[in-house]
Amino acid sequence: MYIVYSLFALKLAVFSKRTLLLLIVVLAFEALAKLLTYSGNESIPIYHFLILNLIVCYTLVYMILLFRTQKKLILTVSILTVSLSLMNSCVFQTLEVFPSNGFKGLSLFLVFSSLLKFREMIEYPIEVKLISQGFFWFNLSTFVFYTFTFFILSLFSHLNESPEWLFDTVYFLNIFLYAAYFIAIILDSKPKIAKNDSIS
Amino acid sequence: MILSANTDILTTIITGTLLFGLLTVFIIYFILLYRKSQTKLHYERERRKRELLQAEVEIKEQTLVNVSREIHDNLGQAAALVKINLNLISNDISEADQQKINESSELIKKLITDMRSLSQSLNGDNIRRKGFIAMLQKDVERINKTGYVEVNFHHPKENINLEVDQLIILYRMLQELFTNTLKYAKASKIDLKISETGNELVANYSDNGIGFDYQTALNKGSGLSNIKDRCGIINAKLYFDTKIDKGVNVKITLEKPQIQ
Repeated sequence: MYIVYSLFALKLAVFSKRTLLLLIVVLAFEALAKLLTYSGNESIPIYHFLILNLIVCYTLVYMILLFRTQKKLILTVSILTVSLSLMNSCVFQTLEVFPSNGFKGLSLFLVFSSLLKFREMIEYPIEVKLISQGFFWFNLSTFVFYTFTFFILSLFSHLNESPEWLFDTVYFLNIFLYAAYFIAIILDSKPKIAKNDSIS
Repeated sequence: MILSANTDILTTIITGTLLFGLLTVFIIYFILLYRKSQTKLHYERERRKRELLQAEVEIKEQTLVNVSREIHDNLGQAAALVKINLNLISNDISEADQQKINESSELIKKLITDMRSLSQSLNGDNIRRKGFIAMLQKDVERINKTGYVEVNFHHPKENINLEVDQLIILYRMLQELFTNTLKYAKASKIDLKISETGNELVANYSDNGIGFDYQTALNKGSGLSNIKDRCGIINAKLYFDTKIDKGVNVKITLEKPQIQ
């Protein structure tokens, strides 16, 4: 609670605050999963809850990013993804099974959201360099990471055994994703050249 | 089993490479598209800014035309009537009074000439009727008459082949430069040279005044920013060279329309 309070007390734009919240949620769930694994318990149920939390957090971020149109669309797709994920966790891949379908649904939702943002960026450009735009880094890394996640998860079901390098790829993709999120927060905290460039 | 594992790895590598390639192409395509729309936005903003400035200049020009007409029609007429009345006063007055009337008549005559000259200078339409060089010549004569500054004006003999709107704006810029020199420069000499080189019209303006700090003057929002904005409207290039105690050198270069 204290962390959440401190987060909102920071003088950051709404986009940065929500991205930080997303990072904290991921960190908390991953830490809990590791803790359970080390203590000899099953960590898979944690991932079922992580998916739901991730959908909510990403929806909050994209509701800020897609500030001109498409907000309703994102909300609808988000509710649909949550419903499908819940159904998957209750019926198809219960709490004892790794929710690969849930992650696939999350990946599709985020690839769709990032494509919407890319389209909006082309329709409403701003006079700031692309690499200086925080939300470009956020969107690009989300798009790349979740496209590969979808691909890897789809591949899992067809492979007889998962090769070692696949885990390395996932590891490096994670580094890329979170590094890009930090770049996005740093860039968003910097003053912009034009007034209408702010995304908060 | 080994064959199956090898097929799995091959499938993974092929699809992974394809996906990576597709993503790379997508990102490059997005960056190119985004840059294109950024350029479009930039040009659109520039165009709007230019249109706004153009409208502002047109409004100012119209106001000056109205003031010019007012001076010529009303004030000029009133002054002419005063002069006629002074001439009609009976000669049966003392010599001292007669001298005062004559002096007043001379002053009114000068006033009428100055008003006519000012009226012509304010009216941009005169550039269309009398020509850019002729109008500048009149202004130079008017300034030289004051005796404060000596203006040397060099110009081509032939008419300048430029659109009237461009010439009006150039004329106003030069007037602004004259005004700035007269108001602030404490100069004794002004050189103005209009020349045509190739497909360019060049106006070189210089004075031997006290000069100024260009950036400070620009930030203060003096006539300097007006000159800069007007250059933007007619796509002219402006070179300003000035330092404190070093006078002012201004070069305005304007591209002439190509004759097909």
